[in-house]
Amino acid sequence: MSFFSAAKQSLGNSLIKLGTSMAQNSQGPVDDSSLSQLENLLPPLQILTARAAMAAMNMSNDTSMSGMNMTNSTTPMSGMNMTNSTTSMSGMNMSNSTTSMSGMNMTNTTTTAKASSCKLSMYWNWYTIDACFITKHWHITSKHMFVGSIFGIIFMMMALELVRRGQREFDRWCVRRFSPASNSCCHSGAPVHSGPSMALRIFLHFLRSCFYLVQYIVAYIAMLLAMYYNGYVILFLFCGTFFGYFLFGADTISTKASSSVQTKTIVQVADEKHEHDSSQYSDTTPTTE
Amino acid sequence: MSLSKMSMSGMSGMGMGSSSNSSAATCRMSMLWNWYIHDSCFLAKSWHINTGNKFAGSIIGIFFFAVAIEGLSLVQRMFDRWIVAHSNGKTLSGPLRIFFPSSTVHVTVWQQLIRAAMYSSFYLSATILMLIVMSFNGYAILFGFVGAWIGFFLFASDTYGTPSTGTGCCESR
Repeated sequence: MSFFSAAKQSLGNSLIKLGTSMAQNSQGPVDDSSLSQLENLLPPLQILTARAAMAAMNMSNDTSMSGMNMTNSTTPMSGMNMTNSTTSMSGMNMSNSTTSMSGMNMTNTTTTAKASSCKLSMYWNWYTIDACFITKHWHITSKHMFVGSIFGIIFMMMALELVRRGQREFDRWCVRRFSPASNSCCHSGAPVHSGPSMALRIFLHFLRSCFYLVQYIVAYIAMLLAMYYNGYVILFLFCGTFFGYFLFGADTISTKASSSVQTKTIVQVADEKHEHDSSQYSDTTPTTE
Repeated sequence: MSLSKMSMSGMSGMGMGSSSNSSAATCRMSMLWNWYIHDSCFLAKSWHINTGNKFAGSIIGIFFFAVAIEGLSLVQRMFDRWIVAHSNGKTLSGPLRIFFPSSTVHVTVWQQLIRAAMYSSFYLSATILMLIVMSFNGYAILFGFVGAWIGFFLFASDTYGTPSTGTGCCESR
């Protein structure tokens, strides 16, 4: 999926480059500020830039029909290949026949004008310098930057575990606060009858979904990072998860370890008093294997 | 730009950047659904499949990898159960009580280290399976899923009554 987003972005970029190069052919240099402004608005502006390119092409005298066709064709690849093939009909046909695979290529080839380009691979690699993650702007140019990114990844995964923990704590607080006298509030999906009002329950669930959203986003970003097949990144995603779970995950024993009955017992035992009789406790721990 | 090079770029795609290696055959890859057998690569360029036998071996390996992931989660649950059984009903004591709920089962640092290692290994192996599936190879995807299915069938019979994910309004987890 990250690939497709990258392809989409490179499409927008190359369309812009196409347009500006054409404009440069006809009108002279274009200042970079307008280019960077355009780059911010990439995906929605594809059609617009295509039109700009078309207009530029009309002005330039050396490109004719082929260029026009290319901007009219809605396949994303065509625009990209145009920068490679110097606007000929054959190049156009090729671009339609290529699959979306060639997206990455294009980012490589079209950015060769710059000092350095993103190194991308769909196979396991250990790139450090010139690796790019998620956006082109996250371009590793030095070792320090790479180390910083690695630390960022570790802390992101630790923060993910912290947010998961936060959700668990929120749920516990919810149970404690709104289901008095019984811990069996919501098992088997039964709603809380004597619990909070409907509006409050909706609000609480909204808060829970906010927690869920954050987890979802961070987990997705982690997945996108892993999809660069970079050995270091995957390794340190692993490390971040390890440290995060080590620090924040000790409270999950009771849930995974036991059936719901057992969990309830543990909660009750712990809530009532601490030094509970161990024999009574061990009676209530069935071996569910 | 020559026509032939353009057509080649469609096939070799992202491998282009490093396709100048000396080996005779290059990895065939596609970001769309495919049923490649020969010259398909999973995960790394070095995992290059030349023959049908190698492919069969790889597919079986992927299958058992997916089974093993489910087995690992069973090991996690069993270890947690072991911790509960050996805690004798004790809960966390000392300054850790500030950071953990009072109902947390007593767990030592080493136990928690092992738990974290298992948890992150689970994450790592699931990520690697995801990367293998990202080859979009029909066989790999199919056998990866079947492996997860069989693995759940074999190893997850102890999860009755526990919801698969933490949903529901106030499940006390």
